[in-house]
Amino acid sequence: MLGYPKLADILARMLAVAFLVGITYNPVGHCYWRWVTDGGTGQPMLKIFIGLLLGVGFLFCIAALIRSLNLAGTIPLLLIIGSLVWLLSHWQFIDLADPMQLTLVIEGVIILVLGSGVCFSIVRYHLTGQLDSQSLN
Amino acid sequence: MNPLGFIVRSLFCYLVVFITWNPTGVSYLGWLRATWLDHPWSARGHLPVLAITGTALFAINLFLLRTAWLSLRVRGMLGVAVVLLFGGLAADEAGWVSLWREEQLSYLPPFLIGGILTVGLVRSIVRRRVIGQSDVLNPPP
Repeated sequence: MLGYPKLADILARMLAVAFLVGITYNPVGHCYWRWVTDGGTGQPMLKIFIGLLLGVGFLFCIAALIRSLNLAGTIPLLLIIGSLVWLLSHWQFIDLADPMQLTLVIEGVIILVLGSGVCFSIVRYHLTGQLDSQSLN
Repeated sequence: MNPLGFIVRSLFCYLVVFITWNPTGVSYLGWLRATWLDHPWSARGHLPVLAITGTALFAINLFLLRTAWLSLRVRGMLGVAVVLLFGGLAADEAGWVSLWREEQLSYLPPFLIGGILTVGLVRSIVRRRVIGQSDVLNPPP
């Protein structure tokens, strides 16, 4: 029913989550946060509307994460990602003392966690045949 | 579901809402008022047509509302209404519409209702397609 999950499908979902996080806040370019805080008091309704749309996007990803991974899956995932960050810092590939790099690492962690939540149900169905379903009534 | 499917479903929901009622008066409720309420005795010949149209519209509206409620529940429906409301206010701010004119403000309720029905209709499909999680209806006990 869901078909074979191609790598391109997984990548597309991760890129969509990365776009959502990046457009909300990023330290290197234009983002919603900078537009709201530095852009003056103009266009308040448009800012609220865009903020609501971004909020809906995050709610969608968080709900998918809770549904597919729950706490029992999210904690090991965070431990793995945290260990990876620690390893990269130990190998001096990243410098956590640099505020810019630290911000990018935190954003990367958020993207990996939310992206995993969005993709995991599809991957689990392919691996185990178990369909993630929710009863409506 | 491809973008065309979303557009078709959206048009269907808005069509149902506007056929049921719209501010121009050319709608089922406008027809009901004009024939039955204003001229009750002369409308007897139109009763079967009014009845069958009304029951069909009622059934379709009930189906769409139930689908939206099962998918979104009250919190989700209110959330969609809030987002669409601020979308309308943003369009007003940009000068595309003028919500403070009565003739345009009266289009806001059917716009919001149509949007809620559309999101309720497509949410389960999008959810299954994007994240692989399905919504299941249990049979009644």
